Amino acid sequence: MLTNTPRRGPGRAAWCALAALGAACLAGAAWAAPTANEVLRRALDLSAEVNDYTAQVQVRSSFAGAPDEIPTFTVYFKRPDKVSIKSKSLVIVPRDAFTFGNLSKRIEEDAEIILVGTKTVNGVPLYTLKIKPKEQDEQGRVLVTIDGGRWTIQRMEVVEGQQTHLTLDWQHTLVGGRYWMPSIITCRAPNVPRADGGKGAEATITLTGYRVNTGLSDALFQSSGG
Amino acid sequence: MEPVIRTSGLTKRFGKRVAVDGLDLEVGPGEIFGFLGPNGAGKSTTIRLLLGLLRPQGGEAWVLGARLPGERLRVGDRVGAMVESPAFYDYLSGRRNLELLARLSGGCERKRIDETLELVGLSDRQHDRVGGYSHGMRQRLGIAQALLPKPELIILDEPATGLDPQGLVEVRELMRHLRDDENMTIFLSSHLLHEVELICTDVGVVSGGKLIRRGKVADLLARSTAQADVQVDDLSRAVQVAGTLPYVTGTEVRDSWIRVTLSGDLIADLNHDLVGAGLRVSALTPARSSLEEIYLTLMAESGHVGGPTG
Amino acid sequence: MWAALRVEFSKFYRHRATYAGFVLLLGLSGLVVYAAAKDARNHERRAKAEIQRSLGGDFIVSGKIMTAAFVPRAILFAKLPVYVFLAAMVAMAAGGAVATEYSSGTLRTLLCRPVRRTYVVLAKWLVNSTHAVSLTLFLGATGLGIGYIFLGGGDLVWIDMQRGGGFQIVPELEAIRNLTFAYLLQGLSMIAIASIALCMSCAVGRGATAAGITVGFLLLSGMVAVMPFESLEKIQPYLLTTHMAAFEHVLDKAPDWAEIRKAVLWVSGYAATGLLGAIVIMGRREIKC
Repeated sequence: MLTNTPRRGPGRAAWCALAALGAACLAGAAWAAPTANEVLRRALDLSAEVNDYTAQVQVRSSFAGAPDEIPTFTVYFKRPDKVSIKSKSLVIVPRDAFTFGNLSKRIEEDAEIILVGTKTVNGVPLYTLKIKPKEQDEQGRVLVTIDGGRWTIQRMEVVEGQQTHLTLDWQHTLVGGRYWMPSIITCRAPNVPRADGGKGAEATITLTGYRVNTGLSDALFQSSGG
Repeated sequence: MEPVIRTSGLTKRFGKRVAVDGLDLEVGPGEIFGFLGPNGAGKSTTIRLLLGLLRPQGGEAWVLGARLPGERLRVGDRVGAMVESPAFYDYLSGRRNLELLARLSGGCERKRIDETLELVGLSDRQHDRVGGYSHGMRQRLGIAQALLPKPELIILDEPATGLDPQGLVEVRELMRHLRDDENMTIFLSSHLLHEVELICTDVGVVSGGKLIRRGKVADLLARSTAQADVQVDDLSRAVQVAGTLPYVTGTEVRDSWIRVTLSGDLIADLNHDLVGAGLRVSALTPARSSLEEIYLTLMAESGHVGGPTG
Repeated sequence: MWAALRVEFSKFYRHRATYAGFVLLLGLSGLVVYAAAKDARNHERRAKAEIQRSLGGDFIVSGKIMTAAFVPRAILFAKLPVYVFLAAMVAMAAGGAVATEYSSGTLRTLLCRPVRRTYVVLAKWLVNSTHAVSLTLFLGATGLGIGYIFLGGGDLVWIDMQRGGGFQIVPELEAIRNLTFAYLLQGLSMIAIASIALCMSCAVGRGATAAGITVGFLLLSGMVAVMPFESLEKIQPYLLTTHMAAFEHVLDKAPDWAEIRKAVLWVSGYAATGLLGAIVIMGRREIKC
């Protein structure tokens, strides 16, 4: 017999399923790939706390004309892009190795930032960004790879025209339990002659003995070598 | 005895000019041999040939038994030499020059250098730079360097040139000392004929590269004609009387006296005969020919004129 | 031989004129350092710009470029100080070794002693060779020494304009070692020049003539070495100056050692020929003065 029972809405199970779906959607939204700007911002924020630093540097290089090994020298860095080197020996190093390609300035200059690739290595996402001036075509672009785990900049490729002009690879170390600082920088300049006569010189820059945020004076950067 | 120096047909030409022309010469041990000749006669060239500084084109030369120039080093320090005006390193002291040259002879003791400097009278100036030396002092230093190794033979080219009278006397005494006390043979060329006459035991006269006279000085002088200068009250009569004497070969009137040439040492006879002829002889002086006169006579005979200046 | 050598050394180094060359070279080094110090700022700016240009990017070029080591290298590569100035000094000294003694009569005094002419020549050659090497090393050493006082130490940096404008940076110690080697090799060249001058000295009667002939030969050799005529190019590999120039490449990052070895042999050959010529001529020479 039909009885007039009160009408009930969706069942408990349905509500649970909906809740689960909603939660999944929210979670999905939360884990979606960040935008290029977000990736770059997080990487730059990581070093935002480093106002200046001093480090001891050693360079081994295969640049034609340069010595194989340069005796240890001191590098001074101050935000945003001041670099000074105090060395008895002549030192030739790419400025971008210490300024991370001066990315902050590039962004300020209204650069176009495009996420061109993402891959996961050992469970850590690696984001590759292309940064180029908005007003220009593909000339003078920079490709930057950022570690999505630590938000450190891992690699930078400076491309001019159709050719890679300079490639920089950074390995980082945690200084004072707080700052991720470059420990080894590998620079490859495919067009620079090597000592053995070929092309494609390489330099390995090793940084140790960091002293961070000691309040370096601007005067230190006024002499040559910066 | 083996001659100290011997040349046989020694010949040296410079281009077409014959400087030494088949020279035959012997110098015995213990002689002080004077080598005379006019300019360009070949004296210096002969000396250079004897020292191996020049190579002969013909003939042979031996010094102390060593044939030149090939065996020059065999005689080593047994020969000391000074050729022409002695040349030294002007920026070094006299003593330093001697020390350096002594080293080339295997070195010698300081004492020997002292002795040699003393011998030539340069002890006081030995530490002065040679650049400040007078010609005479250089000459003395030249002799000193030749004497350094105590040689058996010294060859000196014009050793008396530039010396003052005192220096000439000293060199004369030095030569005699070297011969008598050091038993050295000395071969020297000089244009100071009077000095040669006083120093040398033997002379050789060279002309046109050839030896034209060789002998002992004493013999040359003895063989020369004796002369006498006579002062008398009547010169014309004295000439007349002398002309009648058999041993008088010539007379020559000079101012207030006459020179009478005799055929021998007959001066006493001349005096006797003149007095016997009633002439009053107030002075009679023997006037033998000097080496210079003999030399000039030889040069005249060989067709050369002028003195032995080179 | 030992006695002749001692005598020659003693005579040579007691002569004040021997030191005139050293004084002149000191002046030359001083002049180069003065010019380098005056021009240091501009030079460094130009050099750094050139390095940056050759690398083609934003590179930091830091450190001193105008250093003490730059001076001896500049002297060596300027050619005139070595090929003319130093060579003339060596030629004058060696050219006078026999000829001046001949004309003054001291050679006669020497040869009246029991000494072999060969030994006299060998002793003179050794003395003049030592002098030649001493002058060469002195030039480099004073350049470096005065450079240290006024420019300070540091790596040797130069822009190689002759070979496409590349740059070379040689660490200080390595630079000094290479420079010493380069100067030693040029010392060998100077021995060859001294040998030729000595040979001429045995053949002529005046020191200045012997020196003049030697320097003339060197200049002629230098001119022929750079003339772009096919007929002359054939003889260029045999010229002294050609091989002297090869010694400069000791300072290269990767020197062509085979070329340098060949140059050493050629220059040694010139030296040996000069010495042999001197011995033969002296042995036959007649001492008329």
